[in-house]
Amino acid sequence: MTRRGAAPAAALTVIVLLVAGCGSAAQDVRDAAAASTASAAASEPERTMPEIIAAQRSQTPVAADDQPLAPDGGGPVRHRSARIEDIDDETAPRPVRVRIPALGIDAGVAALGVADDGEMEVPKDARTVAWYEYGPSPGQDGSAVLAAHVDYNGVRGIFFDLARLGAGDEVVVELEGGRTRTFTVQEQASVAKEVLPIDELFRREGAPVLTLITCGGEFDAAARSYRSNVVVWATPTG
Amino acid sequence: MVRSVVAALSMVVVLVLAVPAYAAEKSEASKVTFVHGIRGFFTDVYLDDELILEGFAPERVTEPLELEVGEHRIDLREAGAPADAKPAVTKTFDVPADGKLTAVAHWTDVEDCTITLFDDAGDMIAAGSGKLVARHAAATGDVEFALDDMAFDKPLTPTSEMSESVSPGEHTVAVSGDDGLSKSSSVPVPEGSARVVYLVGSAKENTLGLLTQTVDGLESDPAGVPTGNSGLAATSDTDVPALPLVLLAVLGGVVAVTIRRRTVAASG
Repeated sequence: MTRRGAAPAAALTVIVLLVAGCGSAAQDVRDAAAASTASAAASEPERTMPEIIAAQRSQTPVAADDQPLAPDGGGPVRHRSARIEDIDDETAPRPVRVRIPALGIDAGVAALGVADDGEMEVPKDARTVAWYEYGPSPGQDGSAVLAAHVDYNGVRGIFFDLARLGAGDEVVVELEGGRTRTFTVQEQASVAKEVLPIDELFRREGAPVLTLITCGGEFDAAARSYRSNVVVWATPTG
Repeated sequence: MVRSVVAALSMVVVLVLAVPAYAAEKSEASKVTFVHGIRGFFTDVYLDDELILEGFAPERVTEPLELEVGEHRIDLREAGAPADAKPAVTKTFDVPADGKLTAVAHWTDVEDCTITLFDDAGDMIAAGSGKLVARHAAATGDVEFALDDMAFDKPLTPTSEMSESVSPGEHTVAVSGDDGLSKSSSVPVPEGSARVVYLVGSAKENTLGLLTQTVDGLESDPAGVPTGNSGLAATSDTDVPALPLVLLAVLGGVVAVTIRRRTVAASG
């Protein structure tokens, strides 16, 4: 490693001196300066890391460790603080309410995650809508998932009529803090659970989409479970 | 029997769908992140002889950089030093295909520093969980690492790592060792990401400390969305004969194809 670093410097010096021999006067001056810098670098005594740091400290009136932290380095490579106290897990405001005028729905939204069996956690009642809290919030990049029951313990669920939604219908999501986002339905489909494009429904990157999910299709009475999911895709329009 | 045939057919549909999408997303390049753990050292960072960061401050971490498969070299020079000056720290390393790596600059003893490469790829994290990783990148011997007051069985040796799946949220990490070394900190761990805690610095200089980094893109999706248990909305509640169910699965596949294509078109 030591040699790798030194060799190009020496080579550069030689080339620069050769060029200097046949260049113009102004060129000579520039080249001589370059040559002197290069040879200085090459011949400079090797300093240890503590010596380098001590030299840097002496040049900077502010102690290096007290350097204020820029929020972002800018430039071609972005960087941020690696200090634990500077961890900033920015979170977008979560959804608190959803309104779907076409279906007369106006429901509270609960932030839910993953159940013990690995499936998305769903409300323990028929009327609450669940937001998948580990995915994006509505309007952020990726697919924001709002799921609710089609039915629950013999009662019709808040998303009972979800399959009636069609392209052009509006979905309004109220976010924590009072701001609302409006989405317009693009597509509605019933998809067998075996072939549900789950990575697409829960994607965390890419264009923002609001994904409404409930159950539907054939009902497996023995398993007390539907064989399909009804999925509605809506894109932000306001 | 019928169920397994349906499942098998569905799998075929899924695989047929998945292959072209996967092929399109596949990339050979790896992601490499750089963590600067040499306190007090302001450095110009060169990657394969190209200056990529000028006057990079210690205790900072870069975004992941895309690097092609093959051999690469990082050189750290004192900030402002000529590009041909002898690097203060240098490291040649191999980048695998589709990998994730972190290069950490750190002390190895009182006078010397090095760059150690850690593999960030690891296993995907189960849906609803996070991961905490502890890495030893300091000029000191073995240390004991504890997570939420539970010590790991084995000591954390220099340039090694340990990891544990955790619930998302705040966790306490503690590092202890010889000469009264005792560092602890509360660290929030996001779902689907690995939060890495580094021990950096030098025991003899009394500069041991903790740094952190987040490795994203390790999340898994929930297995499904169970949103009905009563059959009130059922299209049929009789036992389903095999053929229609197969058709349904295939039809579902067609819908999935349409959805996937549309989404790709919309986002592309």
